[in-house]
This record gives sequence, structure tokens and C-alpha cells, in this order.
Amino acid sequence: MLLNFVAEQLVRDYFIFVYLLCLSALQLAAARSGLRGLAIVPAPWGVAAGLLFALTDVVWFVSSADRNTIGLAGWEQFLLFLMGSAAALLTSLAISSLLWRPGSGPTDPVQDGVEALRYMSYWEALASRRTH
Amino acid sequence: MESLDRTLFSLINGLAGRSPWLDRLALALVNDYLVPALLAVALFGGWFLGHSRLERERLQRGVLATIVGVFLSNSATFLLNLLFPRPRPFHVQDVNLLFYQPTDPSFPSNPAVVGFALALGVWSLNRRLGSLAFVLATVFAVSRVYVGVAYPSDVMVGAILGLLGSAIGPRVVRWTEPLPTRFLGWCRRWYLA
Repeated sequence: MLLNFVAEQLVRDYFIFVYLLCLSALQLAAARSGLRGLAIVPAPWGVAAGLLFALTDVVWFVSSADRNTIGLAGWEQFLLFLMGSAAALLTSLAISSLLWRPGSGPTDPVQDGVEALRYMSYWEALASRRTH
Repeated sequence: MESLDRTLFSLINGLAGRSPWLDRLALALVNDYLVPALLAVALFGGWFLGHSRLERERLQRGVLATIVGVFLSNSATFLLNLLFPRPRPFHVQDVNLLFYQPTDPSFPSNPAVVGFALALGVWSLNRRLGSLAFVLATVFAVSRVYVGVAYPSDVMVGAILGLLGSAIGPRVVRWTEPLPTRFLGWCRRWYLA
């Protein structure tokens, strides 16, 4: 049986752990690459906030329960990781779009792909996709 | 060879239970979740790194190749587990067991496979972060011997298998063109690559 999810608490904890870790990684990557449309923390604080958040998350995961027990199979971990990372990406894009102030950054509407998030929020990028 | 393996095992596993802080460190790192998640998250973050479209595409192809590499090396591990169902050390000798008793065969060590496959993937994206990833993967693998659930040869062959899988990954990605390019194009249309 590939997907048993026998340990409910572990499933929940692992999902939260991966979700917060991915959110931290996104803030680090956004700060390093200047992707303002992905950042939920202002650029100068992105790296510090990402590292602090990740460290807190790791300490919580390791210390909150005994993790050395039979729990999740490889496929279950893979599935939960996919879900956690997708949720973190959606959260980051949504919050960043809500916090975005129009005209707060440089404008360059010709960019496509993730490069566009240097110049506009994800919401604006999707809107510009509809109009072009 | 077998006796050398057992001697090495006894040397490393013999340290368990002597130093509380070393035991705590090993137990924090040895679990099935922490190190693989940290390495996979480094790859996830790497997807969004890069200062130009060209550099980002190189990194994203690296991430795709690593995912393929982990899949390949895991498949090989599954086959080797079936072909050589080597019993765990705690089944055949006295050990200092600090971990739960895994039910799958010992050879090759799956955590070593995944750890080293991911570490090579991270290294292909960023050398500095990759060096740290290799340290993590090595500590992860050695801690399996320390807590008494794998022999040194299990983790060594696992590490080689993981590295091989990750090294073959980029070739497989090239062979499967134009699928990766189409996938990246689709992601780019949704501002995700």
C-alpha cells in the first residue's frame, strides 16, 4: 500500500514543516533574485527573515515530537512535499499581490515568465496576460 | 570484505550511547524527514534563483534533472532491495539500536541514495550551497550506521547510486526533449518559470 498515512499527527506536522520551509526558501530566493512579485517581506529583510523563519521551523519540527518512528513512506513524503510547496508558492504569490502597491517598482511590461515578477505582482502579470 | 564492513560498523555503532550530545545530534539528523526535506527545499528555492532568463533556465533544467535522477536511483534501489535482501544489522548481531527497526532490506541504504542524489542536484545549482548539502547528506548517511540500522557498505553503495542517478539525470532530460522545454514553456506562460 503506497498511501497509508497511518500517522495523522506526523502527516500534519510534516506538511506544516515543508510548507513553512518552502515559504522561507521563496523569501530567500525572491530577495536574492529581486523577484518583488514573490516577496512577502521587503527586500532588505528577505534573506534574514527567510533564514530565521527556516531555523525556527526546523527547531520546532525536531523538538516538538519524536520523529524517529515508522511513519511516512517515500511516496507519501513526495506527495506531501508537492502539496506543501504548491501551497507555499500560492501563499507567497497571493500575499505579495495583496501587499503590492501599483507604481511601487520599475515598470517593464515586455517581460514574460517569472522574470515579470521583478516588475509586477503575480495578479498584475496574470491580468496583463489576458490583455495581450 | 564482509568482515571489514562489520568491523567498521562496530567501530561507528560502538560510539552510540557513550556521549549524550552526540546521540541527540544523530537522532535529530537521522530521521526520515528532516535532511531530505532540507535538500529538496534547497532545490525548490533554486528554481526561482538566477538574475537572467538564461541563468534561471539552466537552474530549472538542473532541478528537473535532479528529480529524474532521484527517481532513477530510487528505482535502482528498489530493484537491488529485491535482488539482495540483506538483513539489517540488528537482525544478525548485537547493536546499539537508537532508532526504530526498519522493515525493508538494508542494502543499499535508501536514505543515502536520496541524500546524495539531492546533494549533487543542489551542487549543480550552487557550489557553496551544494558543499553544505554534501555535508548534510554525509552526516545523514553516517548517522544511519551510528544508530544501528545500516552497514557502512549499505550507505557507501547508496551514496554511489544516488550520485550516479543524479549524474544521469541531465542526459535523460536531454533525451526526452522537447518535453522539458514544453514543460518550462508552460510554466513560463503562467509566470512560474
